[in-house]
Amino acid sequence: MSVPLTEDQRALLALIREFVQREVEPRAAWLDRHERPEDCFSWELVEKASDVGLRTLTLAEEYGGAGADYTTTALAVAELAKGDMGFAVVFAQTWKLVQTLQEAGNQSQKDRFLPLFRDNPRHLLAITLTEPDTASDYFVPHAGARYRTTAKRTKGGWLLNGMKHFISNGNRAFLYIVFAQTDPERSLSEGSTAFLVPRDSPGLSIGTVHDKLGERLANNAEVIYRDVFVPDENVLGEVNGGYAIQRQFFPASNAYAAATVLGVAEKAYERALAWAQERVQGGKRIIEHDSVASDLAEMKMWLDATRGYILHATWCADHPEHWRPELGVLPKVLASKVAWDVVTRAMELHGGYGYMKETGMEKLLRDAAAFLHSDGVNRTLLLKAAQFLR
Amino acid sequence: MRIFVFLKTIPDPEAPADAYRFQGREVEAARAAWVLGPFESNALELAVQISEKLGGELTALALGGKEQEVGLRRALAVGAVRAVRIDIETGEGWRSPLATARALARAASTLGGADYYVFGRQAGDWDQGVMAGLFAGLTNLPFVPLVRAVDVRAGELQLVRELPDGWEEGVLAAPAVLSATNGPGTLLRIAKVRDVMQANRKPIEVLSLPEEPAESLRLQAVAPHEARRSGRVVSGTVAEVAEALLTELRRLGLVGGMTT
Repeated sequence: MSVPLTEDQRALLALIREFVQREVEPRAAWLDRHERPEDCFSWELVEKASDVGLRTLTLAEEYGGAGADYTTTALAVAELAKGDMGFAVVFAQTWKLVQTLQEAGNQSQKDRFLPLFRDNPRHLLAITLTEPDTASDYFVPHAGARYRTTAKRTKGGWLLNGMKHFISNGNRAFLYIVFAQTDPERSLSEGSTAFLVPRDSPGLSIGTVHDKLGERLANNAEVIYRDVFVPDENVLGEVNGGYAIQRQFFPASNAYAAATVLGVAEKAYERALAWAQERVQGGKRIIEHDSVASDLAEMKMWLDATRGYILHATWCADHPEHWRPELGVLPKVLASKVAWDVVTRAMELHGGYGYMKETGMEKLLRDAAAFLHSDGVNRTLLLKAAQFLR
Repeated sequence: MRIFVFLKTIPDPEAPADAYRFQGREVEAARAAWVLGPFESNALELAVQISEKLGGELTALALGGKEQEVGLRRALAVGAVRAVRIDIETGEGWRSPLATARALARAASTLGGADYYVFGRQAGDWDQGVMAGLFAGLTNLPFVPLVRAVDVRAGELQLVRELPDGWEEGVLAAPAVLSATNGPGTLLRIAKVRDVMQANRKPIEVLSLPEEPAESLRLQAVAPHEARRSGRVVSGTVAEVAEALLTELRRLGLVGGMTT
């Protein structure tokens, strides 16, 4: 889809395309096939991305990064996801959390953590919100909603205890933004706090690395906190202000999730289009059959509309005076539904070939499935959006 | 130490045939993106390595219109300190390779000359492969074609040159001209994100040169080869397939009239 891009955005996307073709695509299918989830993740790829400056894309220029805004970041996420969705998730998480730290962190926190991030080519970030019993609850909190992970006051700081699961980059991050219940009497919307917790904090350990259907180049893991001491200076925002951090400092998180799965869908569409232009059945190329042609046209329409909606949301995030809260939850719903539709149709257009691993369509299908739930179950996000309409 | 690398931005050679429109003497790349030519990308990598290893200053030059900025900005992003677009008014005639080489030589001279002049082995659009040699002839400099790797030992530039069945290695003293070929040692590095963005903010100088005298050859028309027809799939038993293939080969006059 043609949207006006700046020269910087155009150059960045060309760079990512080249990186994807040269480094990601030759490895993605092979990495995806490994049995152990840990073996699907590649530090080599992360370091190569670091080497060209992709890891520090959203780091402010004053700290040595490229200082990408929300729109540029979403464009980058979608382009990277065309190479591999899991790999894009590794970076989308990191890019968004660096933006959060820069927006919500105080000067001391930025000065302590951002240079460490910049200088370590493996430095990734993770956010630990989800718990086995607290998931949709933190999107639409009710009076009884609590994190089971708690932070209790101690001298000079807090003691963290609990377990988070399904955490993207959970076993790979060097720095975590951890949400924990600091006031057990109140709902998590009023009684939780965000903390900055380095990986080497005593008491922090990694549990199971989850084995997943798709998105395999990204690891999701349990993160366990046993009496992890967090000094007061590592409280992000205000004590009991965790939910405010969630609401205020992740304006584009949902759009990044949407862009991730959009990249997969656009890749599936491109492959289906190329296939339809080559494959001959019924005495002509299958794109010359009306039903196939109209299918492709409809796929293109939904993809363009979705890309437009995502970029509308990120533009509003970049220009907060235009921001509407539903833009923080709806783009991913649209993108994941469209992606699932497009990828399944693209696979169907490939006939039997689409079902065979050799064409790579089944990987796109497995990857696209991730965002039916990831970054918020769709029905929960719709419920959340409905709250803003009342 | 000064190094000049000559670049050419061309319509994407990977674009499908219908991305081009042929009209009389013009070829319009209607739907093809502008990209740095493949062998010029090898030349750029080689030139960057020479400037890194010898500590020289790299200048990128390209002759043509604004589209040439694509390659020049790429050069700025990977280490060129200066980018110059050579602007020559396009006349009625056909600019022959010799005229282009003359223009490049004049530009190089106007800019004060260099120690090493690096070209791609051939442009990716017309594939004539004569520019580096013509430039060397006009400037009376030694020329080493098809360089696939460079190194510096004891302050001297070592080259590895591709041969039809092997390679040869030697030392090249400045001033000299070399052309780069493709290989692992000349694969253009991916620029860094910040450098790409900064390259977008750097100026590209324009060097205007007067039009060349008219060429003896005038272009009258340009057209693509007739598109190759798609093949025909032959199916059946082995004997049937063999018979069908033989019949087709006879029809095309490629085999004699023996019977099976």
